[in-house]
Amino acid sequence: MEQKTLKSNDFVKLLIHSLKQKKNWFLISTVIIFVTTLLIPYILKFSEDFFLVFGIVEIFIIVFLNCLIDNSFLHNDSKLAYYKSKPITLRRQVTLAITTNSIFTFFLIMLLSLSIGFHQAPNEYFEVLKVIIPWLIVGIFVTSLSSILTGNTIVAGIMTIFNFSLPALFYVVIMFVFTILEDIVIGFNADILMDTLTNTFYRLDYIYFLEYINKPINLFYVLILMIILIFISLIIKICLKRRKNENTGDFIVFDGFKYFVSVIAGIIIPATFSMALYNVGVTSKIIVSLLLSMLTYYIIIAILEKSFRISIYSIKLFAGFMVVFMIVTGGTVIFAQQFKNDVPNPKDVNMAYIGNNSWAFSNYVYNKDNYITDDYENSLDFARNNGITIFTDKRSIELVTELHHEMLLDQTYFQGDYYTSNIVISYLMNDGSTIIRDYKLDGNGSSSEGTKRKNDISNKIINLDEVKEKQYYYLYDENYYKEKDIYYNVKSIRDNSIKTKSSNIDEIRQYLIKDIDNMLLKKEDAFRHLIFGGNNYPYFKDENDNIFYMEIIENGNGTEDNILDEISVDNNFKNTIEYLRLNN
Amino acid sequence: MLKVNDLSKKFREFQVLNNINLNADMGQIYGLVGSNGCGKTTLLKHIMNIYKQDSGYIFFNGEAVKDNSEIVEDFYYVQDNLFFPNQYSLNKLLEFESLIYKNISKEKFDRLVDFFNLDKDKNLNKMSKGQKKQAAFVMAISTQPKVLLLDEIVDGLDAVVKRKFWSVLIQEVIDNEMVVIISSHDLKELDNICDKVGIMHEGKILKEENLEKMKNEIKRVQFAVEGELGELDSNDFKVLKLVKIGSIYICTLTGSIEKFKEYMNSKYKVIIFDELSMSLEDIFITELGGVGYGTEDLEIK
Repeated sequence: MEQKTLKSNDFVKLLIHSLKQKKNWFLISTVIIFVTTLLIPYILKFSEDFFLVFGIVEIFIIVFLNCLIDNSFLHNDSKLAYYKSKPITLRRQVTLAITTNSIFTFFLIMLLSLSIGFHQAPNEYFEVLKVIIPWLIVGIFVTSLSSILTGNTIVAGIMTIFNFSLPALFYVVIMFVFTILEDIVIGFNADILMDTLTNTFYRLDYIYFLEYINKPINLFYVLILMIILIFISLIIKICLKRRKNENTGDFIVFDGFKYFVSVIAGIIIPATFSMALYNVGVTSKIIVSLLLSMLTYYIIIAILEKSFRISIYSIKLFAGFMVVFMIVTGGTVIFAQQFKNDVPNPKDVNMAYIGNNSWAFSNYVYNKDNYITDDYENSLDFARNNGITIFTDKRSIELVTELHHEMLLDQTYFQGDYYTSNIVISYLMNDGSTIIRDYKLDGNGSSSEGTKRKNDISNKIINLDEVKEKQYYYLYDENYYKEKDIYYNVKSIRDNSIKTKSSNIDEIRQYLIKDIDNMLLKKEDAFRHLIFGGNNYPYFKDENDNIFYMEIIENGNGTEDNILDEISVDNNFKNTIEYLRLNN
Repeated sequence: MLKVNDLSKKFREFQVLNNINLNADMGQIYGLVGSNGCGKTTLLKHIMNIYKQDSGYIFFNGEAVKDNSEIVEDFYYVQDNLFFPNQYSLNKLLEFESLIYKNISKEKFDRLVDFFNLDKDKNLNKMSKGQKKQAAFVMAISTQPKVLLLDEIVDGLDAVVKRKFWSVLIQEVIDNEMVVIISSHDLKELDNICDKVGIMHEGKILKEENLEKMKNEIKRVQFAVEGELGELDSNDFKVLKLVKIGSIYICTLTGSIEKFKEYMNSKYKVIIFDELSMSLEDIFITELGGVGYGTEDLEIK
C-alpha cells in the first residue's frame, strides 16, 4: 500500500524551515532594493525611472539565482543522493523550492511596490507589474523544470532562458518555414502570414502577457496564467518520474531534451541567418541553411555530450529531423501552391485593398470586426490616417481583381524610377474571411507589355470616383469637406519656407479638383500612383524655387492641426498655379 | 527482511547491475564486498530509490520499496562521498531531519555526540573527513532506521573510532533488530562484524552466504611432499587454487579436508600438512580469482 510520506502539515513545517534558511537572502535583497530604488535616487534627487527599472532587473536576477541555487541539489551526485534518500519525494522537494521562491518573489514585489509608491512614480510602473509578476512566477516554474532536465546548474540557467523563450523560438521556426514558402510560392509573404497566425492562433502577446500592459487584469489573464502553470507542473511531474538520476553531472539529463535543444538550435541559427539574407536565390539560401543547420547541430551535440565524436544515433536523429522539417515545409508549400493562382470572384468580395502597406488593411478589418472604433466613420479615419484606400464599390473591386490577375501573369514593372517594393493585395470576403497576397515586382529593365497593362488597369482605378473620394477625400468627399475646417500652406520645395497661408481651402478647391482630374486622366505611371497613393506622391524634384508644394491641413480648432496631404504643385497643376499667382 | 530480486540496470549501454539477488535478514549485518567499480554503491542507491532499476524488485518485509512508499521513512543511507547542507551544524541537521524522520531520538543523538566527542555547533562542512563520517553515523543511528545502508563508512577512520563505530552498530542491531548493509573494501574490519556477506563482481553477486558457512566451505592447507606433485583430482574435494612457495604448496579447496589428507597420503609421501584459517579477504580473493579477477601475471621487462 502506497502512502504519501509527508502530510500537508509536514509540508508547512518544511516550508517554514526552508523560508528560515532563506533569511539571509531576505535581508540582503531588502537592503539591495531599498538602497538602489529608494535611497540612491532620493539622495541624488535623480529621476527615479532608471532606478525603478533597475530594481525590476534586480528582482529578476535575485529570483533567478535563488531558484537555481534551490534546485542545484539536482546537479550534484552526493547532494542528490542525500536529498533523494530522505523520505520526501523529489516532487515535494521541487514543490517546496517553487513555493519558497514564490513567497520570496512576492516579498520582493512588495518592496518594489513600496518604492514605486514612495516616489509617487507614474501608474505605468504598476501596469508593468501585470507582466512582471506572471513572468517571475512562470520563471520560477521554468527554472525548476530546467533544473530537472539538466545535470548542471549553469546549463540549467541557460536552459531556463531557452525554455522561457520557447514560444518565441517556435515563432522563429514557423517564420523560417514561411520565409521558404515566400521564396517559392509567389503571392505569399512571411510577415503577413506570421501576422495572421499571431493575431489568430499563436497569441504570443497573451502567452507572454504583453497584451495586458494597457489592459486591466481579467479572468482570462488568471486563466492563462493557471493554464501555463498547470502545463509546466505536468511536465515537471512527468520529468521527475522519468529522470535518470545516474546522469547527474551530464549537461542535460534527458537524451530526448538534449536532441530537442540541438534540433531547435539547428533551425534557429540558420533561420536567423537566412532571414537576414536579401536578394539571394532560394536554392543558395536552402543550401546555406542546411550547412549551417548541420554545423550548429554538431557543435551543440558536441558541447552537450562533451565529446567531438558524434554518435550514429545522433546523425540518424538529425537526418530524421531534416526529413520531418522538409515534409512540414514541403507540405506547407504544396498546401499554399493550390491557392497561389486564386483570385476571388468580385461578387464575393466585400472590400479590397492594393498598395504597399502590409498591415494597415488587416488592422482596419480587425478594428471594424472588433468594434475597437466607435463607428465606421472612425474606422475610415484610420484608413485615411494610414494612407490606405479601401475599395468597396463593385467596379473598383472588379478592377483590383483584374490587376491581381495581371500580377500573377507578370511580375515586372519597368517604369522610370520605380524601385522594388512589396505590392499587397488584400480582400475582405463577404463571409468574413480575408485573402492577403504579396508580390515583389522586378523593377530593373525596360518597359514591357506587363508594365503597360498594369498602368492601363491602374489608370481606370485611380480615375474612379470612389478612389478620388478616398485618396483626395478633403477635396472630393462632400460630407468630409462640409464637416471639416481645411486650409493650406504653400511651401517652397527648396527650403520648406511658407510662401502662402490660407484661411480655408474653399476658393482653391475647384482648381485643385480640376488639375487632379486632368492629372489622373493623363497619368502614365498610374500603377505607381495607385500603389504609393496620393499621400506619398513623389515630389517633382527641381532646384528651381518656382516649384512649390501644398500642405493640406485640417484645422484642429484648439487642438493640434492635422496635415492631411502634401501635393506637389508641378506643371500638371496649371489652374492651381494660375490661381496662386493671381492671389499672391 | 530486505530482499532484492533480479535487479538489473544499464547506464546507457553499460550493464552496471545484472540480475542482482540479495537477502538480508532483520538483525543482520550484511557485508557487501566486491572489486572496484563492481556496482556496490549503485546497488545501495537502487535500494534507496535514488536510481530506478530497469527491471527487478526491492522488498522490505514483503512490501515493495517505491519512491513514495511510507516504508522509506525507515531507511537511512550514509554515502561514501558525504554531503551536508550548506552552513549546517549537527544541531541544525538534527532540526532539519527531525522534520522528516518521525522516529528520531534526541536523547540517542545527544548520547552519541558525547560518545564520539563531536562539537554539535561546528559547521559540518568544516569538519575533518573522519569527523564528518562520525557525524553522519550519529545522525543515521539517531533516526533509528530499520534499514541502514553504510557506504565505506569506516574509510579514513582511526582504529579507536572504528572500534567505537562497531560497538555502537552491534548494540543497535541487537537492540533494534535492524538490517545493516555495509559496503566496504576494508575486508578485515568486515570480517569481525558481518553475519552475512555478498561478493560482487562486474554487476553480479557471485556469492551470498553466512560468513561462517562461507569460511567452512572454503579451506586452505599447506603441505610439502617428496618428489614432484602431480594432478590433484578427486570427487571428494575440488582444488580452487594451488601455489608453490619454495618447497611448500598452499592449496585452497572446497570439500573435505580429511578426504584431501587421505588422498595426499595415499599418493605421496607427505612431509608437512597443516590446515590454515580462512579470512574474508582470502575468500574474497579466491572467489574473484575463480572468475579471473586478479589472476593476471604482470610481465615486467
